[in-house]
Amino acid sequence: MQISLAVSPYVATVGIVENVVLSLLGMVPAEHIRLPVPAPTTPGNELDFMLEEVDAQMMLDVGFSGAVTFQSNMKANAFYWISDLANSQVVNNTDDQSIIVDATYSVGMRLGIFATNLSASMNVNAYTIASKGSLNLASTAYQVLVLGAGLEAITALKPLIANSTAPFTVETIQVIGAVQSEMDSYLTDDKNQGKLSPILSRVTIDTDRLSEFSTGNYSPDLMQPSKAFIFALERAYRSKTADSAAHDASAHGVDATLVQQAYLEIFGLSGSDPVTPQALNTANSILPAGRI
Amino acid sequence: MAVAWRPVNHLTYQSPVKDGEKSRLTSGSTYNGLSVSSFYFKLDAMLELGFEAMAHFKSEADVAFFMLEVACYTDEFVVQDVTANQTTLERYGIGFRIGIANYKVAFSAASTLAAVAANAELSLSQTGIEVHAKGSTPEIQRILAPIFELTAFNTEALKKISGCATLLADYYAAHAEELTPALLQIADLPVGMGKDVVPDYWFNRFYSNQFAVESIYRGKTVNAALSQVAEIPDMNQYVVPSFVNAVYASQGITDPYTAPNATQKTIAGQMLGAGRY
Repeated sequence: MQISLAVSPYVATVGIVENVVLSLLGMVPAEHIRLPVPAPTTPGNELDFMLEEVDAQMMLDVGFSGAVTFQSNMKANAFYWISDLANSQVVNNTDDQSIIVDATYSVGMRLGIFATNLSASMNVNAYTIASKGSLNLASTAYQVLVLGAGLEAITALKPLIANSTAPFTVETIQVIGAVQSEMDSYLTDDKNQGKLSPILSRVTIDTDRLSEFSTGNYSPDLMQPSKAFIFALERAYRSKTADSAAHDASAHGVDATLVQQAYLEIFGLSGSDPVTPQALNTANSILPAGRI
Repeated sequence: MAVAWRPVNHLTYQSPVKDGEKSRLTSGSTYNGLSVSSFYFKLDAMLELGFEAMAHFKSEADVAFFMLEVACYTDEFVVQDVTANQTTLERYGIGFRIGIANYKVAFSAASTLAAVAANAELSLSQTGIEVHAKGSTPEIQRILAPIFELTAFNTEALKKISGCATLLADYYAAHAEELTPALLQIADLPVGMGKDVVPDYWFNRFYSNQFAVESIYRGKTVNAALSQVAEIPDMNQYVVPSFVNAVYASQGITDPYTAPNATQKTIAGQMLGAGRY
């Protein structure tokens, strides 16, 4: 199965592995999240506009950390939207040892909006927020980022910079509309093409490859190692050895080989090695994950 | 892995490696345009950032501290501290920060800077303001002069701040080459280098898997589960969002706003319980 994920644009050398997409660190070893293809030097020719509600994590991923820091300190119910006016193109990855199938590069303008004090049942979009914002019923804030455009793009953004410390109101929406049409002409103007350098915005990953690389090419179905990980943690938590856990595995619908692998990877234990206090500690710190 | 930038005090922050040993990001945005970010902080965070005049608000109850950072970010580096097993991104830039203290105002009224400004106008005695310029030159000092002269945070001040931001953007566009940027923000990547040169992230993977299956069992959409991670970072620094997305997908949940159905919740429950005997 292939899924599309928004990522931070950061690609870097990690340890001795080059061209690693930093947003994906931790999914599989770094050598399997490489994107060695060069970023395109000129923008594509499809200009898209999108506005969607997103989660706080996505706000962080695309660079709006200020809003989320604010939110996590306020402990209030918050809503997040992202509006993108971007010129995007998709590049296929050439590295067949990578879970990344293709990458989307964009230039354009991104607007992040967040709002608190809204009723959860309210059917809201940026436009309702704007009207509530002007009535002071909701607290709103927003932030703008320029993706991959040159310094001259600042001129197009000036009205928003001047407005960025003001409340988010219907007027703001109008300013954004005006700025977007400025950006639109900036992005499509031939003389600017050389100044635009598209940046990484999304990747498509293959979950079958993810599973294969996680299991030493043993299982292409991520659900199998997923089950085995949890089973291994629970059995080790009960001080059972790798052999003992693997022996019981199939009776509980879990693959025995993957359970052995899991013991080795997370605890460094195999066969009849006794469960160490350190392993117990590890199991103890992972098992409560998500119980919030 | 979310990259969550937080402001640091470049005068006191100790980078774990020397400048020459930092590796510049091989792709990414060397120029982000002008960025205006507002942060809501506690007093200790403000003091850490060097807003020392804020200390006299210590005895006040209900104080809200805001920090507005207006900056052009210039360079971003990856810093790997092998001894502490920590990977950090560092972001440099030029710009200014304004610290604003606002007290005896209900949070709901004080949750945006504009609202603070509107309130402050009613009661000047209830706000405090402190300004710092970063990566600055005499010319930038001149541009920012109106901000240094602010005595209160009100809607007039907001207009001046916006005006200076625009001028700063112009100055940056014309003089980028001559400026010496300061370290403004860092982002810790919650993954170490592992025991070998090649990082190993087994702990993150097991943790994220457990988190994902537990969240499916609890009927959360992947969007809701990951929002909790972003909003309660202390408990969840090991969660790799992309892995959580992949686990949801492996159980047939590919839409971030679709809650797990009854069958999916049951299967997740069985996975969690299989080893509990």
